[in-house]
Amino acid sequence: MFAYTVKRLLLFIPLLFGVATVTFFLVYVLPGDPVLSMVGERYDEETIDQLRREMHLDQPVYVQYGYFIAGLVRLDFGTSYVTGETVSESVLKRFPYTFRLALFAMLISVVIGVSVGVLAAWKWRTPFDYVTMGTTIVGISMPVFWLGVLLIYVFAMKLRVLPASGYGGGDLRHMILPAVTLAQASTAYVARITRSSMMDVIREHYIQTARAKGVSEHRMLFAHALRNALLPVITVVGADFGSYLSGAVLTESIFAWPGLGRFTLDAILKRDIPTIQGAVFFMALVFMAINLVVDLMYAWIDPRIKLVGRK
Amino acid sequence: MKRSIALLAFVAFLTGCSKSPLEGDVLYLALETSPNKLDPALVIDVAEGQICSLIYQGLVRFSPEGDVVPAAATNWEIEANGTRYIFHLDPRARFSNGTRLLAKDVKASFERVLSPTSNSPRKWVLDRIAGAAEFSRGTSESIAGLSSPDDSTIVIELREPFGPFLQLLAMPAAAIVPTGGGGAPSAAPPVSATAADDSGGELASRPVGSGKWKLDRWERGDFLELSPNPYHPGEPPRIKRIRYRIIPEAFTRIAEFEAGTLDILKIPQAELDRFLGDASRRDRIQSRPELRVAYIGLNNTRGPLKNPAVRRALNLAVDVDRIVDVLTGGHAVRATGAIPPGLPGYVKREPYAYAPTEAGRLLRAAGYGDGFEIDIWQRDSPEGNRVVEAVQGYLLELGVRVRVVKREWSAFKEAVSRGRVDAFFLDWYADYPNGENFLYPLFHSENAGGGGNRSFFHNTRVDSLIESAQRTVDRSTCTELYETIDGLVYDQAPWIYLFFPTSFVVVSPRVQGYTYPVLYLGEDFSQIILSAEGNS
Repeated sequence: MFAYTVKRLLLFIPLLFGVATVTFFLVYVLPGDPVLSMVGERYDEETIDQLRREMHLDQPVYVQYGYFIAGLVRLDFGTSYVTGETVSESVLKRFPYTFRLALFAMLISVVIGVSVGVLAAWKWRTPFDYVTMGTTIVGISMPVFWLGVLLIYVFAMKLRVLPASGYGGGDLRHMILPAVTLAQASTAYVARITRSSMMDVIREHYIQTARAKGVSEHRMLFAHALRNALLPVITVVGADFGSYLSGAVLTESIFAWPGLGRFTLDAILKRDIPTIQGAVFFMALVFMAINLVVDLMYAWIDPRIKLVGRK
Repeated sequence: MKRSIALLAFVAFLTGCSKSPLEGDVLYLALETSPNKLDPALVIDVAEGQICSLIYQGLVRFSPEGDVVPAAATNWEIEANGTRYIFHLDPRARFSNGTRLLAKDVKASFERVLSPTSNSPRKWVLDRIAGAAEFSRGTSESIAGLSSPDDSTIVIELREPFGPFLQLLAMPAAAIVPTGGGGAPSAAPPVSATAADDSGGELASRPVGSGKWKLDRWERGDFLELSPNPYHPGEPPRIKRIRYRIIPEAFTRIAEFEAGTLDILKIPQAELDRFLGDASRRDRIQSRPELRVAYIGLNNTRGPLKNPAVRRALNLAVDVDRIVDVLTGGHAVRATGAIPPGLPGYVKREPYAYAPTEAGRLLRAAGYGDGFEIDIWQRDSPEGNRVVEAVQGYLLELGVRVRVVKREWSAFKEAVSRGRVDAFFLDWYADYPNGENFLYPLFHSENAGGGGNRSFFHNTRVDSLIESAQRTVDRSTCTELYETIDGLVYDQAPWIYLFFPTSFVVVSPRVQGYTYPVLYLGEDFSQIILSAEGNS
């Protein structure tokens, strides 16, 4: 397992290099001039030229790419064109906001999604099953923006029991609405996956054996069946968590959450090249790390899986 | 049992936050975008301008009514036919770090904006000073027209008279920054938009000014907190703090206001009727015509749009009155020029009346009987979407087939400023309340493209009239000139002239003494009182 992990970590290097290169050229071909975002609506060409020189934007693309790679090797993405702050510093400053929200959302989707899924499988073809599975369809289909607005309307404007938006200095109550909004689709999906995976497992012989031995239904479901049904669930949860960690632009915008998603969107809109590159690089890194953790968890949950660093 | 305890706890937890979380002496405000750099030399957008005008002050500032009033300077004399300004500094003026504001700070502040290594996009604010251009180019060591005979006097000489100069001095770019210690030699931190050197970014992230407020906390993307500058000599504000939250979505700002957690809300167009129809709020709503003109710029150098007759035809083909009535709910004034109402030079002219037949005749006479095709570029905005679609419909009736191209600001600005598009929907906000701020950037050929003249309008007579208006010190003569110029341009129809919008704000019940300023730079919140009874 150790060899496998090291091998996977080493694989990060070419992958990240690839991501960085693709990002560089994608940003390069985007229409819109980064210098124009720095000067407002009334500007003169001299200032524009001066800025362009300072930012090496007057150089041919391969020279710019050279500067970029030289920085990348030192993990230095430079300073933001727009804020003047060091890119890596600002990305790391924004990440905790995103992380908290993602973690809370993931908790919601795992706890609620898995419980509902297990119960629905157990109560297969009962009204509980039909109602919850019907609800999950709604959950998967409802646009994030719409749900966010709805929750704000009900809980902040009408009932006034929860704050409408903002980070609120880390106050847990500020996290409820955005986390529920973010978790919604994932919760529904996890519930459905858990249900179908549980149903396969419940029909297995060893579960019948456990039942015959007189193991309680509760123990049978959660100790015997669930653990075996978890693999596909973990795959889904891992992928969702990875994408939450790269920032949830819509949720963050509706709830004025100062996370990585809005930060990156702002950078893209302003053509703040160093920030875009730094943020995308960081997101890719996080995504790869989560995937690695998910793979390691497979082996932990199902001891039959052996992780080998293949030659 | 366990379950009901958990439920009770949850309800208690939720209701625990139902009481207003607002603090009694803190004013809660929202910004649509996050300010990026709080260095006055680098201010380019509304959010930055708003915060900088609270933290910094220049020699003069704008009052809420848009008049120029004393700030760091208590009084001034204007001599030599409007080319020499002598400012007397307030001896009590201090920066928020406690150091005295001296004439050398003023000098150094202007020098750092104009310096050859500065990449301030706002050099134009100060480039009327004699010797500014030479200094900026690096051919002169100092600015010839800038001197400080003693610690509390600053003398500014202009190349030639410039009517709106005092107003320019009230803009953030002319704000005074500390040069470090009362007796230290002048050394203002350099302006650096790219933070190429370490000292440059300093002021942008840790601003120090001599304005009424100082910055206490700044969590980027989240909020900014300001408190009164204890060294400011004037009467201190009556509130203890201002908390600006960054809330990008209009819906969320409304929700915060409705939930009682925001004190002042700019009402979005789509919500106006609901707010104005609510009797309990009506007396808390203030409105004013914005110093802003909305228009469809026609690129005067491209295809059929080169011909003024064609451009006039396009104006005649669009029923602007109906657009104003229906799309702005009547909360706008039809534009028959570029200078908005409320500014000297505004004239309500005979508009291009809606006359599709006449428009068709003009088009046929110009040789475009079969119509033609144009692109209209716009940014995605509720206002833009509605207006451009309406214009597209009207022009189609004339036989002009419009393809609407939507781009976000960066791509839009690049294409439009470089003259790569036929037409575009845009607006222009006043930087300072003066007709000159509309005529010179928007129509002088020097400013074609990035300078503001994005319709690439060129008319030598208009150019020379604008220049002579700028040199005119006498107000009434100047106003007459503005009227003439604006009329001349209107006749040439470089745009499809649309409207001057009116904007509305609503304040929470606890806010008293707020005046919606003519110009956002004129806001200082010093008169606001927060009453306890409204805080529920």
